[in-house]
Amino acid sequence: MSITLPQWLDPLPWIHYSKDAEEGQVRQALDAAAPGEKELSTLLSPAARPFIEAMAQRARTLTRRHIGRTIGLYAPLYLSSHCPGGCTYCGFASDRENERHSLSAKEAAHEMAAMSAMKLDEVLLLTGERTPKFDFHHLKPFIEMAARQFDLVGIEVFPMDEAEYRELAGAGCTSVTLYQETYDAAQYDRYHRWGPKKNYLNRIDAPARALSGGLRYVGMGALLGLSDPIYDMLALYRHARYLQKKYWKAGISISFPRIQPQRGDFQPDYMVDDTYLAQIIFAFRIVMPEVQLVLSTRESQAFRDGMAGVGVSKMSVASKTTVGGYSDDAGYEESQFQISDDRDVETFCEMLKSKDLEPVFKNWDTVYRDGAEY
Amino acid sequence: MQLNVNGEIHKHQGDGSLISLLKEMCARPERTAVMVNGKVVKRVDWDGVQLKDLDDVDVVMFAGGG
Amino acid sequence: MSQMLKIKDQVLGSRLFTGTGKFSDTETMVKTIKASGTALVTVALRRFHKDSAADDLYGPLSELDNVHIMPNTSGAMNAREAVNAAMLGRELTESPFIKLEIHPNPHHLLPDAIETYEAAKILVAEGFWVMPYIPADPVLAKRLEDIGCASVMPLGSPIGSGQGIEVREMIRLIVRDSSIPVVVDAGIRSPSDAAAAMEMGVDAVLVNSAIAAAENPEAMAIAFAMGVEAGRAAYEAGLMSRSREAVHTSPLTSFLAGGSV
Ligand code: SF4
Repeated sequence: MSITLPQWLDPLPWIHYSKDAEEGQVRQALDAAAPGEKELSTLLSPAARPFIEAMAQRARTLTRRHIGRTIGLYAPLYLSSHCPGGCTYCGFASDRENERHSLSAKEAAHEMAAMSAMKLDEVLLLTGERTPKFDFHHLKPFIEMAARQFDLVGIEVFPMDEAEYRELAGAGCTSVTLYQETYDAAQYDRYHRWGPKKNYLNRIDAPARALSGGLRYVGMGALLGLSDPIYDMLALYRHARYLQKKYWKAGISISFPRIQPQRGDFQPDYMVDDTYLAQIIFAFRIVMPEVQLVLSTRESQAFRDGMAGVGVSKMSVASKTTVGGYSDDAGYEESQFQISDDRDVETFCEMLKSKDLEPVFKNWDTVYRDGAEY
Repeated sequence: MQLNVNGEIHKHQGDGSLISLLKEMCARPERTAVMVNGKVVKRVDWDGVQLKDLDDVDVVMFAGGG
Repeated sequence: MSQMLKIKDQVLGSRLFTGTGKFSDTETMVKTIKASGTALVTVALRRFHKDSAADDLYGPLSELDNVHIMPNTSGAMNAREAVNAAMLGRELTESPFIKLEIHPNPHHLLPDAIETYEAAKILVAEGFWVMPYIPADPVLAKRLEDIGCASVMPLGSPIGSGQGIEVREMIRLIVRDSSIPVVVDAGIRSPSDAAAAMEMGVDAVLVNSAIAAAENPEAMAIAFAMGVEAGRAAYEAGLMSRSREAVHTSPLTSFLAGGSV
C-alpha cells in the first residue's frame, strides 16, 4: 500500500538542510527571527549536536518567556487493555498473550479518587483501538465521570469521527492526544500489522476532526525509534503548524515518546539517545516557542529533572500504565509500556521547586466549557 | 419636482428618470454610481428608475484616495 | 524571479500598491502610478458636483494598462455605510476588489475592528474580494480570514504618521499564521520602511502619502518599487540572523552524557 503524503504534511523538501548543515547554518538557525522547517531541520542535524548547550540556553529562555517557570502536571489513567491492534511495538497488541481488562464503573471511581487524592487535576484516559469490548459508548461515561472531578480531561484512545468528538466535548472532554507514531507511510504500514490503526490517513486527520468537533486541545507526537527521526519530527512540526493555522484557537501540545523495551522484545531500528532526544526537544522549543512540550514518565529521573523547564513545560507524574494501577482493588498486570520515573507527586514537586519551577495542577476553571467553533 | 441630490435641494426639470437627472447635472453616466434613498441602484437597473418628489439621490464618482 | 503575488484569482505583477490621494494634480498622479509599476491602486469615492468634474479620476485611471482599481470605503463610519460605499464602488470598477476601511475618528483615522468585521461578512457574501484595513491584531486577522476575506491589511503605525512599522511583533504573528496575503497599509514613510516590511514576509505594501507628498513623486515611486522588490528578494533569499551571544550562566546540559561546547 503506498500513500502520498499531502503537500501540507510532506517533510521531504526540508530534509536536505539537516544533511548539508554546518556550523554556520546551525548558528543562523539558533538566532533566526522566525524559525521554520529549514531551521528545525538544521537544528536536528548532527552538526547541531555540539551546540546542545547553546540550544538548551535558548530553549530555556523561550520557555520562560512564553510559558513561565511552571510545569503542568497530569497523569494517565488506563481504562482498558483490550485491543484488536497489531502494533509491533506495543504491549497491548492482540498477539501478546496477556490477560485483558477494562475498568468497571466502580473501579474507575476508585482510580479517579486515588488520583484526586494525589492533588492531580488533569487526567488522560487511555484505551487501545476501538473494539466491541471497548467502544465509544463505553468511553463516554468514563469521560463524564472524570469531568466531575478533574478540570482537564484528555483522551488518548482510538480515532473517531467529528460527531463523536463533538459528543465527547459535550460530555466534558477537553483534549485529544493522538500520536501518529511515525509519519513515514511505508514504515507505518510495516509496524501496524493489523487492526484499525493500519489506516494512516484516518489517523492523520483525526486531530483536525477533534478540533472541528469543538475540542480545545490536541496532543501530538511520533514514537521515536520507529523511523528516521528527522523525517518524523519535520512532518510532526508541519502537521502541528497546519493545525495551528487552520484551527487557530486550538491549543497544541507535543510529546516526545521514545521506545522502551517491551514484552515482545521489540527493538527500535533507530536509536535516539538522551542527547539526541534533548536536542529534538530544544529544537522544537526554538521553532514552536509557545506550545506545550510534554515529557512522560517513560523517561528516567535524571533526564526528566534535566529537561524540566528547559524546553519541557508539561510532565506526567506518578503514572501507572496498568489498568487499575492507582487503587488497590484492581491492579492488573499487563502494561502498555514500562515507566522509568516512579516518584510520587510530592517528591516530584519537591524536585521542581528546588529548580525554581512551580508545579501547576490546575490551569483553568471549567466554568465556561463551550467548544471552539470554526 | 424637488429632489435631495448629494445632500442639497435640487429642482429637477426633466422627466424624473435617473438618466435625465444625470444629464441635468452634467454627470457622465458611465463614470458615476448612484444611490436612491440609501439604496445602491445597479447600472443595469437605471432605466427602470422613476424618481419621486423628495427622493434622496446620491451620485458619486472616483476621487483620489489611499 | 520572485514569487508571484495572487489575491483570490488575480495574479498581480507588483507587490507595491499605491493610492491616488494627495497628488498635486492628475497628470503627476498618472505619471507616478506608471513609474511605480503597481498593479493595484486605490481610489476613494466622492459626491459628484459639476464644478469638480475635473477631479474625476475615472478617465485617467481607465487609461492605465494592467492596473486594477480598488475603491475604498473611506468616509464610512460604520458597517452599513461601508457596505453602501463598496456597492457604489463596484458599480464603477466592475471589479470585486474592495478596500474596506472604517475609521470613525477623524483625527487618528484608526480602524474600527468591530464594524469592519460586520461589514466584511456582508461584503464577502455579496461576492467582493474584501481587503480590510485593520489594527495589527493577529486574532482579528484570523477571524477575517475565517469569514472569507481576500487579504488583511494591518496598519504599520497610525495612518499618515509616517512612523514605519511600529507593531513588528504583531505583524510577524499575522504573517506567520495567515493563509491569505498580508498587506501592510499605513505608516510607511520611506522605501526602507517598505523594504523592512517586505523582509518580514508581508505579501505587499500599500503606499500613498509617502509617494504623493514627496518632493518628486514620480522618482519616489521608483524608489519605493525598488525598496519593495529588494525587501521581497531579501525575504525569499533568507536573511542572515542577528548574532546573539549565548549567555552561559550555568550549564544546562551537564546531565547528558554527550559532548557540548
Ligand atoms: S498501539 Fe494502540 S492500537 Fe496498537 S496495539 Fe497498542 S493499544 Fe493497540
